Amino acid sequence: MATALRSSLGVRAMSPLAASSTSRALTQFRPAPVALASHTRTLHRLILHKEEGVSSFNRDETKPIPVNPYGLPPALNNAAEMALTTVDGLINWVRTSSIWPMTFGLACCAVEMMHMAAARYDQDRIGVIFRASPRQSDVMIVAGTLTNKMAPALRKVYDQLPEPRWVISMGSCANGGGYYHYSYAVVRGCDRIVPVDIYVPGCPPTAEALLYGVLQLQKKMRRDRITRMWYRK
Amino acid sequence: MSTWRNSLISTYQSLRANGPFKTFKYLLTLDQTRVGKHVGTDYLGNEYYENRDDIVLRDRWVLFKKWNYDATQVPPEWHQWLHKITDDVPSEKTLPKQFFVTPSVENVTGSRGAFRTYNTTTPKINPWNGGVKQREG
Repeated sequence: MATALRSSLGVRAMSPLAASSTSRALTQFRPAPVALASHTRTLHRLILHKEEGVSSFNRDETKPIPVNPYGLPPALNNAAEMALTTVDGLINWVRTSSIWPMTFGLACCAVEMMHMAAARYDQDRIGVIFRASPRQSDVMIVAGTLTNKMAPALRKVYDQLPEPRWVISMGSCANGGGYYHYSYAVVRGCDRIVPVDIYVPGCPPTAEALLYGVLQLQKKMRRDRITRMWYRK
Repeated sequence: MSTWRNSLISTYQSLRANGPFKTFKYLLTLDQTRVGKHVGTDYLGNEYYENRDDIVLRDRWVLFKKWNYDATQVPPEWHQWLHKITDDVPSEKTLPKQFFVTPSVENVTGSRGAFRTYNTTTPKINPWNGGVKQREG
């Protein structure tokens, strides 16, 4: 299947060694290396598309790459999947409408985080309530510069969050070190310590931007296919 | 008490002015029913409303076309009207379109249209093909 996919994408043909039956049997058990082998974008030619404008990526001849990151088999029972879609929607609705963030205010971004909680932006109307304890929270908002000294504490707080958990990295310092990128005392981005879902840019981001980040996190939660993934596995 | 009375009155007003379907949409998307003058519709189908009797800075609002709505679905010309940068309702006369202006695109993060980085050099890491070389002789 991997071979057929590559040839359909117009990538250079594989070596005859790799096309032998032994290797084909081997390759069936691991996901096809689509991401590495299917670069059809080049800077050498710019293509004008009717709707997409000028790009180096030819959308007319290139089919979208089939997405199957976990190598799951196709759906067995469509009726069950349809029912589980509704269950997923219900779970996601519950999750999105009560996001309880753990405040990890480290610097001036925390002030903007407080503005999000105050009357003008009013996070309560979308169900966001700050909790002081990580064990009662769903989301951690890392607001500010993460120093080397604080990093073990951040990781410990993240480990105390119950599953499912999400992390919002707020501001340049938490995203990638920011102003203190070259300081010897600062972690160059909190994604070196914890996995981050949403990056909010800005120095500091406005309360509006942070609220937009929370809304983006809601969108990400809605895409979650909890029971469908469980059923397919 | 007064909150209940106000929301009852505004729901009744909205049912009279907007009809049941749009009132339901208001309750789902804006969490409150509102009555206002329909000022215009952009090319995406979002509807823009104004009620000058409402609280200052809350007297202009948008009703999105899509259910999966997002603030970036508001085009820039309507954004400036919505945020009181201007009072002019955007049209060809009030806001002439420059030749370099491209149509605005909503935030496509997380969808198939999102930007993915790509490399133009030969990759230094290649996938293992997993073949076994035959012994010679």
